[in-house]
Amino acid sequence: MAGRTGKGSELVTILWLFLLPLFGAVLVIGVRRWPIVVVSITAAILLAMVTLAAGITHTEYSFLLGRLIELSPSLGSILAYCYLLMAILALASFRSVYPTLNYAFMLLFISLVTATLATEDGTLGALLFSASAIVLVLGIVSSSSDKSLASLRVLSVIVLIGPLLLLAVWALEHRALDPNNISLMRLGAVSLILVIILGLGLLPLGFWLPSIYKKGNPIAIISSFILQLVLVVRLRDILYLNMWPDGQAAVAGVTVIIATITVVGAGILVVFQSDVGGILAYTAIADMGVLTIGLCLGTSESTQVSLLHFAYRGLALAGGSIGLGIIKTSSGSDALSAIRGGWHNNRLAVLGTLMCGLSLVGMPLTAGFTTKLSTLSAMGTNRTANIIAITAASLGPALAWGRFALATQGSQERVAAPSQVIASIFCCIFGVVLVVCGVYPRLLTLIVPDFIEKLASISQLLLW
Amino acid sequence: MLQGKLLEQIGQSTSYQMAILIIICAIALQLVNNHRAALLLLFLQYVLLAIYVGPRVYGPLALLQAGIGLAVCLILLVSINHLRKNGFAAKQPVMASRWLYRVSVVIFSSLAAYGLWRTNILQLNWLEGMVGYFLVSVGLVMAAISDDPLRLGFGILVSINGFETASVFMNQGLLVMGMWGVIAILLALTIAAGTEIWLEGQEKAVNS
Repeated sequence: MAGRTGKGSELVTILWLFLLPLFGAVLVIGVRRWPIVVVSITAAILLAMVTLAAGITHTEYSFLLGRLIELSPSLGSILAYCYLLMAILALASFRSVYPTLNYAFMLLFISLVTATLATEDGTLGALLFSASAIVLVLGIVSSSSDKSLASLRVLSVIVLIGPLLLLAVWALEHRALDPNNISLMRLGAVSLILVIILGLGLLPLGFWLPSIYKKGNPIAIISSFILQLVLVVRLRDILYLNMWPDGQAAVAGVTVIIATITVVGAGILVVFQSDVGGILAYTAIADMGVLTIGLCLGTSESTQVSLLHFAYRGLALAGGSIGLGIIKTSSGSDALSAIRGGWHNNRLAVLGTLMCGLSLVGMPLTAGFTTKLSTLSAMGTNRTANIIAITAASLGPALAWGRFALATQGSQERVAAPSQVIASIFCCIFGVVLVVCGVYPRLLTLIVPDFIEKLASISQLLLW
Repeated sequence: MLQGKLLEQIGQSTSYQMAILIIICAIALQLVNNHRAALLLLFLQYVLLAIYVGPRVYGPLALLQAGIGLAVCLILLVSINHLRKNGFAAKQPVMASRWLYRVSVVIFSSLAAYGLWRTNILQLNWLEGMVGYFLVSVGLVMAAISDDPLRLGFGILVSINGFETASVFMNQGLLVMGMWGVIAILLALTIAAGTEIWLEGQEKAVNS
């Protein structure tokens, strides 16, 4: 408990971060007939939460019904980043057409995510994670038509992550009491690997992610990104505290192989996609593979790079998903054959989406390139085959984004749709930020003088 | 002392009966075609599970579990009524080949449950393990093969019931049991919303 402080007033911050979005969700349901009021309330609540989370200067903890809840400044920074992404999405959707109930589910999701990260108890954390995942699907279901049961299929996969996490926690905690029990050791490791594959959307079990991306709802896409970030932080606790000696290395070894297969598999599958949602989804899956490899390397440098990669990935997905939403609304579909003339009709959105997509691919002159290159360098010379495979697999997503750029050329009549100037501007800003960070990576240290120290401190939460 | 032993024996035989009834309920849920009958069986499963775990947890928690089951079933009943109103209820008699298929699915999921029970990965006692593993495997198989949103939803709920039962034998905390309740309600809402959206999609497809 060294280094922690806990006072009554500090508990209030944790409770505010949990209760504020919960009250917000109820309020939003009450005023759901007025979309502008709903968006304003959601954005205001999320911005207030950004301020609260970023303002945490020392570790705050308390006990709730006998369970330890804790928020460190590093965790506060991660939460502030998630809240900020959601706030920007809410602001970007100011004139858009998302159903208002979506914002209520967004706030409920944020509340559950906060509770998941704040609770130290493994069992409760796994159950809260499960609840967050279900609310994510509830948000998807409430916002789109679905005649193929895709959302419920996503639910049936995603709902397994919580119980598997629970199983891993239970097995590894009991193994700690009975170190010679091999079956518990195996059960813990297998459950953890399954959680990593399912939760991070790695192949062959990560097919729930494209179903979410293809719906083209930015709120759902960023919620799934946040869910993955939360899972990585929670897994850190399990891998760091409950694993046996060499256990981390064993799990990391298997995961690196699966992640490499994911990068290569998604790199091939993306070529066959005929819609922007599919291209974004498989590019994101391939990118997740690279990120997972970075996390599995387990050194402090690779973890810092992975944290930065996560941050850039969030920006790229936010920009890409906003762009996808705009293209889908303005063309009536996100199929490559339907977006002809997109460049003429909505240059900002197309440019922003392209820049975000290329950053996810890891193309030079984008932020994604810097972190991908650092991850590949950190893999060392004994994994040369993996490095070659991953680099070659980047060609698939690059080609797919090239097809997207070509598909938007030409001219075609615009479908009658509400103006999305604000969303287009936000989409383009995300793209420009990623390019600027790629061209001049030192910019972050100029803006935040102690950036490297902060990165090192926050990355401890991701150290597998 | 004799009285204590007798009470213990009665309690144990009640546990056996409950376990067998829960398993029969899960099998029947896989076999029936009618949504309302399936919902009734699901509710019965919730009640039986509450009675089954009742002696092991703080009394009112068992009541809470039955209450959550009632809430879940009421939420799903609304969706079933909407399906019936729109003519998507399974009214037609089930063909012999369909019965054969369902029976083979039951046999397959029972074999999977038996495999899990034999390995007993959670180190539960044989009766607790039998209920937990059976519900998990039956539910997962049902969710994986269903092409109807409600049957898929029933499968998810049954498997979550299995996980919950196994978890309750390992951790009987109030907060943990409360969270399982929240998860069940959220699942029911998602399944109901998913069914409505599916229905809307089907109607659009029929009209076009």
